[in-house]
Amino acid sequence: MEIVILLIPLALIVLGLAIAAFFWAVKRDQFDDLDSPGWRILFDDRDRTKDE
Amino acid sequence: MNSAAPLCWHCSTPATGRLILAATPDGDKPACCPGCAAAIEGIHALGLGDYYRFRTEAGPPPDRDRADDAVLAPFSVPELVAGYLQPTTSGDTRLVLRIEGLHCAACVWLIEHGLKQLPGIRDVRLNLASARLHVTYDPVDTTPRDIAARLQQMGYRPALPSRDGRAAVAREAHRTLLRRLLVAGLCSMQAMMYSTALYIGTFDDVEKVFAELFKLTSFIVATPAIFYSGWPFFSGAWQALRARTLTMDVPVALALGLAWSGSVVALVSGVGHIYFESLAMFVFFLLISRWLEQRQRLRVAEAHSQLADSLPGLALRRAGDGWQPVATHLINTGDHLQVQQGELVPVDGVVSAGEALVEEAVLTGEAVPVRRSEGAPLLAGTRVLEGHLEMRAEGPARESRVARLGALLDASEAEESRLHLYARAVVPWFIAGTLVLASFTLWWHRDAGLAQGLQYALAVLVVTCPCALALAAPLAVSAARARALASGVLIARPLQLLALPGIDHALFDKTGTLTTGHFAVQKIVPLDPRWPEQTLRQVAASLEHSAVHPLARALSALEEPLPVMAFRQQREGVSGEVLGESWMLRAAPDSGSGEPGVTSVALYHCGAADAAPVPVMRFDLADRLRDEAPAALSALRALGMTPLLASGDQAMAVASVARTLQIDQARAGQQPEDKLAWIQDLQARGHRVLMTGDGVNDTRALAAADCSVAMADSSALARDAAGMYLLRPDLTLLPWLHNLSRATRRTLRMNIAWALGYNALAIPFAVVGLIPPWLAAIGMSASSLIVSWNASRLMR
Repeated sequence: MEIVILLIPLALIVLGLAIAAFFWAVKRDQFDDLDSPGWRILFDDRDRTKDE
Repeated sequence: MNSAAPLCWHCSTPATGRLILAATPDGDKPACCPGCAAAIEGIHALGLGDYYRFRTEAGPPPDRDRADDAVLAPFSVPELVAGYLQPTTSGDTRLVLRIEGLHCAACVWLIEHGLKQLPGIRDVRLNLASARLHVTYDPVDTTPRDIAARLQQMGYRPALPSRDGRAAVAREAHRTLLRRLLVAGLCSMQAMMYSTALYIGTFDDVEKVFAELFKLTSFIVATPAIFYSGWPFFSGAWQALRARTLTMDVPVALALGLAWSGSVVALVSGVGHIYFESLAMFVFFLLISRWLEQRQRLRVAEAHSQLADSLPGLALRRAGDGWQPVATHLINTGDHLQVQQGELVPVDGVVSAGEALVEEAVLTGEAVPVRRSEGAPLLAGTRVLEGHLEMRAEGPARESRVARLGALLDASEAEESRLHLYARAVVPWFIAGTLVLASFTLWWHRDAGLAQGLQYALAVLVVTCPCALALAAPLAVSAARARALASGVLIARPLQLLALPGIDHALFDKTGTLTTGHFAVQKIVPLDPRWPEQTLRQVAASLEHSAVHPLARALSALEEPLPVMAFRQQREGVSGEVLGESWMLRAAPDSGSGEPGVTSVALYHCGAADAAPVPVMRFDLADRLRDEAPAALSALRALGMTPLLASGDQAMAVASVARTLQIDQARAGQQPEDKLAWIQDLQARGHRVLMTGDGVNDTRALAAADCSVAMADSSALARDAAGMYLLRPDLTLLPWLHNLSRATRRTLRMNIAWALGYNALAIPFAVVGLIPPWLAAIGMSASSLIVSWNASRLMR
């Protein structure tokens, strides 16, 4: 049970890192456009061949 | 006209008149104009033909009126572009552009791939919602002008974004809320984890020290969620109290503050319950509702900022002996400016030299250009069609008439807050009742001890929180606005949308509203059998090809143009030499066909120098009824509205349209005051009137009607006056709006009934102490979420 004394601070550090990573992503405009990226993956980049 | 004309492969406009074919690897495709043909060929030449497979909507027709150079000019001026460039850490440059003509997700694909083929392009990101394009490139390899030129080649119109701070402010607020939301989410989940361990009683007696550790950790993770994420509630409550009123922030802040302090006391003393996780969760759910609402609002704000972006970014200003390009926003009163053929007038002013034909359709809706010479007023946003002018600025760009379009947004915001007021009129009383109830609960349980009593009072505060009630109306309305925007209607005054089902009379303007407002060739009558018809059509098309007149576009589309010598355009018509013969095109000799609403012009052959010109072919042109008008009107009739027609046009033309559309009451020769008087007369007799129009002459009627809709391409003043504005010219949007209005009202009623019903049901249980605070938090949040979800159904 004593292991929680180590685990809890670790969990808090991970939580802090997660929040920091998210703030960084917001700052880098990653949440400004929630519509286009969903479409983007649907378009393939290769050239089409005629037989389709 | 051939009704089965092929649709343009690019923009889906029927390719009437002469057909242009664009060569693609899959064979020739029809195009409606050389611009579209160039776009089709350009896109295929870049190997991006897949665009036509991906897209879900037709492409933008290239701007036929604006010269290519006028679009690209601002990008060649370093000082002007500099404001939109940003160096990146890796030595590249980042450029922000606005793109006109975006319509579906395939545009994102096309633009991103088309640009990446340019040398030195590192990254391209296009935001479909805000129409902003971010390009990162190596300044050694490419220039902003290259980027703009490539965009234009693909059929889009690049422009420098206006410096409208509003959208930026809204975006920053959105980001802040997003941060608060995430902190609340992560922290409440963490807190919940520790609390669950406590609830299920893992630590009974045996390991007291670990229980204390878990409580402490719960405090550590929940506190940021309560104070950082919940800060808007505390500051909102403080502001409300300072203004001596009660908003829903007050009980929320009170509950948060009380419960947090109580829990801290319990933590320190080791006696009593802690509620950190319930509080964090409470904040999290409240913020979800707020975030949903704000996201919708952001979309509306971005659509508005796109509308406001219609001024030219660059003008030519006198500097010493020459002319120097200057950014529009730097123009001052008294500056001498030059406006060349095809360009937009940058600011309001007065002509100081020269003479030109000016199209003022943007502001007045009047398609016929007017001649402006020295001393005549010029309005920003109008276009010089022929000739060039020098002008004196009478004020900065932001004070011009067209800039007042921004007033539309302000008006709509004021309106929206009135809608909130309606909720706010109820909410303070509700909250006062809540606070009284909470105190009563505390007194009722006075025998159970203060700690227990506080817990019950807390449950009452949380369970009765009128969040759902306060959100019910604004959420439904903003969801309806977002839905309308996606379908092509901008709703400036939401209360008008809600009023639509009560409308019993729909008054229409004719020109530009029920009709397209553009002339089209209806009939061609050969008058002289000696000439082959094909040749005469070709001659007419060639003459009008270089002419600037509303009729010219319709005629020049008839055939492929031939070279014209000695071309002259005068007030009464055009003349020139084609195929070695001398020709003239002007009003038909007699009154033409004599049909209502039809304008007739004739082609004359000029033989010997002294002989009178002989009419050889007559063209009957008319303003065509919109294709969807009959269907739209019968749909409105089915919804219980009586269509009426009021036009400034002549009686014959109005009667003809009224007959076709089966409108019983039609009035011709109507002045703006007459239209207004008709509406007021109907209103005085207890009717409710919807006005649909597009011109300046409709403005007063639009402002007076119970509901008003301005057509796409309306004059700016009409747009300002109307409560709703169609972004695409489609009359069937009117019955659609009616249905949306009904759905919105239904949702609104459901939401309010739910919010009130839930509170009425839950309060007795909370007062007698049957609901623990954590359950109250879940119940309240669920109530708000149900209201949000119900409103969001409108967006589908």
